[in-house]
Amino acid sequence: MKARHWYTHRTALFLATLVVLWCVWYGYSLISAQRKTDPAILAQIREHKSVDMWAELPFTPEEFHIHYMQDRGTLTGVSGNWIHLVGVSPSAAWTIARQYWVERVTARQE
Amino acid sequence: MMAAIRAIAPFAAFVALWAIVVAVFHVPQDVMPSPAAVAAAFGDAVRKGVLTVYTGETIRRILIAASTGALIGMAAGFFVALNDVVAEVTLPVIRFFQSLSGIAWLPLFIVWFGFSDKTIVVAVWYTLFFPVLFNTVVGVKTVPRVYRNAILTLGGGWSRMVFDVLLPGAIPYIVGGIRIGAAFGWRVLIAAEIVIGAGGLGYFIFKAEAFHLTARIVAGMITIGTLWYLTDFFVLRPLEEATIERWGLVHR
Amino acid sequence: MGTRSPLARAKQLRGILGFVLLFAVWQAVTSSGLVKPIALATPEAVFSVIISGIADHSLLINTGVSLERLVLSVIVAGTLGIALGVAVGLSRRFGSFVEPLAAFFNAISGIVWLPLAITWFGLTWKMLLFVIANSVFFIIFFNTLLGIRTVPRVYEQAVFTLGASRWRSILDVLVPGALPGIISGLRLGLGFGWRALIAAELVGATQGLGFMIYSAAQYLRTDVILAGIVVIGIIAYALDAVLLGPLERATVERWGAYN
Repeated sequence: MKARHWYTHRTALFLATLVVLWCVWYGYSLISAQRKTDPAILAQIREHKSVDMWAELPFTPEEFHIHYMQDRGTLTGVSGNWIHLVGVSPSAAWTIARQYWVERVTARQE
Repeated sequence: MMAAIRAIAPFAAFVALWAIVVAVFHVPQDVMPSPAAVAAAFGDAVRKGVLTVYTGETIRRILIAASTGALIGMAAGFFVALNDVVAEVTLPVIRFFQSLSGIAWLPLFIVWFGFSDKTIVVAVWYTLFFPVLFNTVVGVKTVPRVYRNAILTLGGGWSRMVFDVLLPGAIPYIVGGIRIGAAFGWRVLIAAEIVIGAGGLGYFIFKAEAFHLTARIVAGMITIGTLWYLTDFFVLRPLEEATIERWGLVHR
Repeated sequence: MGTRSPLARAKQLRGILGFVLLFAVWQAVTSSGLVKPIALATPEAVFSVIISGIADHSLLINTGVSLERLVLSVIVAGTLGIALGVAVGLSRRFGSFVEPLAAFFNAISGIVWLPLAITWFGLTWKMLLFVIANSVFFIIFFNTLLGIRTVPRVYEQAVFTLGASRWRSILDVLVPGALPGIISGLRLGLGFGWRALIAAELVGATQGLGFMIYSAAQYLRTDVILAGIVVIGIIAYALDAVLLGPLERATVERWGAYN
């Protein structure tokens, strides 16, 4: 497929679209993570302290989610749609908060 | 517009046929789900983040393995090709390793690295490395001596030799090698993810089978196929076409 | 083998030298203590595994089972692939419908069907056959298609002017003309099929070379793994290089379709 300019070629457009979409996705995840997380936990993350947290999902956690959480902290319990983790590193906690399928991150179960 | 419709038509017809067959023959949902069930499973898996996270892992692995495998393969290929005797000695061995699928090495890698992400990436890297290496050597060797001597008489050093003469001459072969390596590599990636079980799309469809979530299996398969198709259509094939056209070689 | 020029013979010898060097490196790395024996078995250990595997037939059985599966799959997939390839090559309308679908299914051919095949057939030989035949089918199909399409129209037209029916033109012109493509497809199909087979056996078989090396990994038996890899590699190399060469020479080259 010939294009007049290299940047209108389908490969360039495809890759450019991917980059733009990824940036938008990532930016949105940052904003919503800020909104979703308990201010107390946010403060702990900023101070680079290890976090104890409850994560609420909008559905019952599947094995995948349990596994995902276990990779990032010590899982002590699952109750309903809530997962309790202790000893989560600040960066891992932030990553969890960024996930679109995590509804809320709080210090106490509600 | 017409072209787009004509492109979609076979797929639309196939999906329609699928829906009809499943309905008419009362095929059980866990043997062959309807297209609607698959779409629902797809949506569900995305909503719950399962499919997205696993897809991300698979893409990360292929990108790492492909970029490093291709670059190192090209570099090694240039070194090997510079000396005719070295090339003749190593080419059959390279060809042997190229025929020997990366999957066969998986048990050995498991002994070395365990059932981990590293094992998967190494297996895919291997599968990409050898076709690129082989094709680079062959490609460089087909550059006529005349051109090599010409750059030398013009006072060029080895870097000009490589970048101005050998690389342009060998590029069609190198790109061909990358395309072969990528095709094999993608298959080995999915297979390795199934065997190792450290996340990824292969693991996604394998776990779905264990839970009899056939709709998820099909959703995963379509995702895998679409990802490969997109990569081939938007990146690999244009690359191959562009290099062959530009260098005026019609060697198919 | 026929007569070979000294140049070709020298090239062949250098190729063999390459393997000798590989072997030497392997021996050096393992015996120098650079690598622990548990990580990489020595050539003698692997050799003794092969010998004992032949003596008690276990290696022979595993190899035989794998090859049997491959041949069966290629026969099944090959027949379907050639038939469909000819059919699609003959009709342009059929082709424009089938080809995009085939291209997509080709993208998921092989091991990707494993979970679905297990759902349908369980962990049986039927499942393995399906997965392997799946990979082989598309290669043979596309190569047959290409073969049919590259037969020059002139030949077809010539046969028609001589009063031949459609059937005869297919049997006497198109299929023989497509033979290089078909043979190419079979050759590639065997290679692809072998790869798919090893992958499928790793997970879903209780016999065969793939099963042998995977179960050896659980016991950290790198000698058995390497023995299996050697056998798998030799067969793969043979399939890619040796097997169909003579067949091509006997049929296609004799008919002058190659230049």
